[in-house]
Amino acid sequence: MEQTELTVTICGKDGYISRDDKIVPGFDRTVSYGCYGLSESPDNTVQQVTCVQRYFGIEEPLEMIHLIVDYGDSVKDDETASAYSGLCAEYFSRNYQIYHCTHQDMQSLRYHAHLLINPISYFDGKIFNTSSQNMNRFCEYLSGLFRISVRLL
Amino acid sequence: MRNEFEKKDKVASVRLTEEEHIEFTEAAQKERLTLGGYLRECARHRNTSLEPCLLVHIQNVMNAAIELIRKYEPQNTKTAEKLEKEMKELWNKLN
Repeated sequence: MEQTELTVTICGKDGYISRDDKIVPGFDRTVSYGCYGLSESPDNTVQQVTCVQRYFGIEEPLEMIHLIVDYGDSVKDDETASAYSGLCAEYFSRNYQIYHCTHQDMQSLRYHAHLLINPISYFDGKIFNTSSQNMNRFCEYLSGLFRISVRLL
Repeated sequence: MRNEFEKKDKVASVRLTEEEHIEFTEAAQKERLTLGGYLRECARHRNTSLEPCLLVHIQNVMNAAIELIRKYEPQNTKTAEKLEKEMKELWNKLN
């Protein structure tokens, strides 16, 4: 059965993304990646996230928020998938440091994006959480952008 | 914002001129902060002129520069590494 919608999943802290390997566990192929307010180097990324959190008085580091946006059957090629991921990241990048990575599942050939977000805003230190209100707002943004129904899993 | 659950139960008042009050209130509004929040942030970070939003901006410029180096001068890894190192030092100065 064809999936004609995008889905957004909130993941736990166990969602690790390999930046260097072209093939990552789960038979995913890394299509592209990008970041906003962060270095591409994984070691520096941790430092930059921690620096922002400390600046706003957070001494115990907060975990990055990990979201997966599954493009279902709406995306058929690498370029579109990467462009979609950039637009997904743009939603958060106005206030939050974000790393995004586009993968293709080598079994289903479907594309999805991983979004890793520092929950502390670099702008004003406000904490972002994955409340249904915040996530529904993100889904509405995606829905308006891609003109397709978006479901929160 | 230090902690959303942290109690702020101490009060410190400060005397301001009319002009200062207008100036600080406008500056706070620009940063989407209350006047108190703005003054707290200024006091807390008075020893550094760096702010996360400025560093994020510099980081993005640096990322673009590194991407260009990797694309057009892939053999020149030292320059990219040097930029990464410089950026790391800048981030360290934030705290």
